[in-house]
Amino acid sequence: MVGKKIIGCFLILLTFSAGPLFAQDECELTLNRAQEEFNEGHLYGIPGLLSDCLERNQNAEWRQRAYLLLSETYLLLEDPLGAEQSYLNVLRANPEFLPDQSRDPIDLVYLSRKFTASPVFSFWASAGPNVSPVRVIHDVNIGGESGTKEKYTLKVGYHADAGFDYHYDERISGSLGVSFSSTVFKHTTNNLFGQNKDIVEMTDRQSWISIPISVKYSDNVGRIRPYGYVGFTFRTLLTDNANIKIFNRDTKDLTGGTEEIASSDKQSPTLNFKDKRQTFNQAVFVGGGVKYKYKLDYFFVDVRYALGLKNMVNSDRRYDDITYRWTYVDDDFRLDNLSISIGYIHPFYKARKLKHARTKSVLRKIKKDDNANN
Amino acid sequence: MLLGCDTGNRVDPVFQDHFIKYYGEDGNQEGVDIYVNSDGSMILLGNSSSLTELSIPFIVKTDSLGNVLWQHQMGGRNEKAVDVELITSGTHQGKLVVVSNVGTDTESKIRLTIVDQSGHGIDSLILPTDAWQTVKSVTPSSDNDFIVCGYAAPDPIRNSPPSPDDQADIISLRVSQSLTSVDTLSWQGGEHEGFAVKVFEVPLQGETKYALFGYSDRPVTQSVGFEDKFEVLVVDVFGQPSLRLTSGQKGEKQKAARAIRVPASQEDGYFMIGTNEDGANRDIFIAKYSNDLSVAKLAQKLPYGRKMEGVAVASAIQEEGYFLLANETQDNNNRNIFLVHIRLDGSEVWSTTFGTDDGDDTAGAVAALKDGRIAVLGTIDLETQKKMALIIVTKTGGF
Repeated sequence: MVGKKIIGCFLILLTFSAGPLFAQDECELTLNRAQEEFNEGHLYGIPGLLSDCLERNQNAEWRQRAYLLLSETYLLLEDPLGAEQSYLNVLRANPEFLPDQSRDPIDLVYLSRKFTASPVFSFWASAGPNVSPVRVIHDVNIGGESGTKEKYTLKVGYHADAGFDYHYDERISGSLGVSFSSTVFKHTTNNLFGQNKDIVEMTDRQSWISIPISVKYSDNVGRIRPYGYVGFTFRTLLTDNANIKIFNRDTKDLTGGTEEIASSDKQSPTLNFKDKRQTFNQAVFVGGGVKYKYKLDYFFVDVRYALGLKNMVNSDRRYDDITYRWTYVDDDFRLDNLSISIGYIHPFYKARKLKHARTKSVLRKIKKDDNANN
Repeated sequence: MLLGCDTGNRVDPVFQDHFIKYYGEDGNQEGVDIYVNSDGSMILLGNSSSLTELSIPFIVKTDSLGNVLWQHQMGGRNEKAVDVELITSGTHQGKLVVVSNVGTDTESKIRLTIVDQSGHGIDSLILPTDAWQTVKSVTPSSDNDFIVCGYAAPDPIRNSPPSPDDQADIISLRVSQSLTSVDTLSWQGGEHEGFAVKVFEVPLQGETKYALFGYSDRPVTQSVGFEDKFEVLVVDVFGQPSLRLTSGQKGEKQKAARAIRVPASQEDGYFMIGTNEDGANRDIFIAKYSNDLSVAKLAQKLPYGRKMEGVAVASAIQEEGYFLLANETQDNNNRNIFLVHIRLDGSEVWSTTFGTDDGDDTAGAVAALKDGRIAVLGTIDLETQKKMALIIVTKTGGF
């Protein structure tokens, strides 16, 4: 009994899953028949022959061929509206379709020049690591001695971005995005209170929300397409947390008159630096990368350098409890950012008739062919 | 500005004018006194200590931006510097004199050290004494001597009949600038405790006299008991007292910490700051004296609702009034540095604190700078050590 039920279910599944295959084969046969009718000049019956399958069959490649045949049919039937509508459907089935001038009829090529399916908008998303070089505006010392040295060290952060590109044309686009980033840098003070004496290490971690706006120029042919851009970004600081480590290194007398440096170290808890920072900041950036075309979408690798424009430091809060306990004071500085991203672009193709048809080159070819025939 | 680039030209270097800077070396360093030269450079005096060194004077000279020009230890072990002043005349004109206490408690002796503006020690002298002496300050006199003052072991001759409660005599000593002679200018008996915090030369009744500012519990009359009060004692060149002025609130104690001469711009005279003790309560106590020391124009405690210990005072230069420096004791007994600007009548203009509850941060000295800024020298208790701190703030106490 159970065995019969299983077999029944299997047959039902097989029926439903195989249905489209049967339909596909059937429509393929219909298209072949329509092609034969076309070749024999029996044009008037072709739209009716294909209409049923066009309603049922969603295979993009089949629909491209079917609508292409219909376009050619309507052109020969001198039905320009039908031809244009069919060609729009060709582009909907394959936004990147371009007729071959050497193979396809010249009137189809001419028709194609009135249409495009290039994307108006593209969605993109990316993520990757970054580092944040510090550019000091004014050096501010916590120690009065000239021998005190300071340096900044790069630390790796990360970021995730998403946005939309508006395509002015196939090469130039404008981009608006939103970015979350975590940036890190380390500030080290050496020789505090004497040569080879105290060291203070401050590791500062920020999180940001940014709104980048840019203008991009891209190559538009080939599988690998380089691009470059310049832009401007508004940045809002969400959090700023720091950890400070003090190496209090004093000379320790040893027996025999020798000395060594003995260090008593202290690590701070996580300190909130948000009030010590300006909340809003800006940057200009330049970047570039390569897009790799995958089917109708793209993967890309991007490198961007952003130059921070504003002083990060809220000078009203430069000196506070942190100064009184952890021997640290901020320089005035701008925070740059070098980021590497790996991302994905999904263009929103839109088949549409052009306001200004690009038919001049086709007309020139027609004239050239006429001259050659004469 | 919403858009634009912050560059060195567009970001005001306010940190050069208003800042906190720490000074020191191995171990801990406290800040006790500051002297501002006419060129804006500053002499910071303090003491250094570590596990192996009890205390040794530490002196720093900075430029007007607080950058160290030179710094070093001076004196000897178990020595505490308390005051630095400019020598205004004589062979050492332009140099500095530092006073310090060598040894502690009943072994304390006074040392004078002359240092030039490059930090080189010129000469020093431990004042010879048979009993302990403790110095509070030094004043270069117009006749090129140094007048030091403080307190000393009670002298039985000056305290008759002797009392078991007698702890100290108020003293003032005259030391020649060549450090070759030491004379007693004034040796006050009769008090159980007290000390002079500063001596000023005062022209009174056509002659040069010396006013010892400090505090004493010596009764004004025999009918009242011993109780600490601010005291100004005027003596002539032979140490003979000609005037005694006490001020304070009956039933409470007033202990002096520092006294300054008030310039004409602040109505001339003298100003003394200290602490009013009323049981466990502590408040800043101030007194303002007329130029002829005939009257105390102002003698009051300044209740701020917290435990306060008056430490130092400076006359404002561009503003009216005075800048008072105090130690503010927190609930956990740690102290913060408290700076308040008061008007001539004692009312507050503004106040601010430096330091954190987690550290025991203490006040040293305050100076009003010509351009209106205020320099505070103190000791900040950092996470791993104490360091001498120079804090320079705006004329309203901010950065």
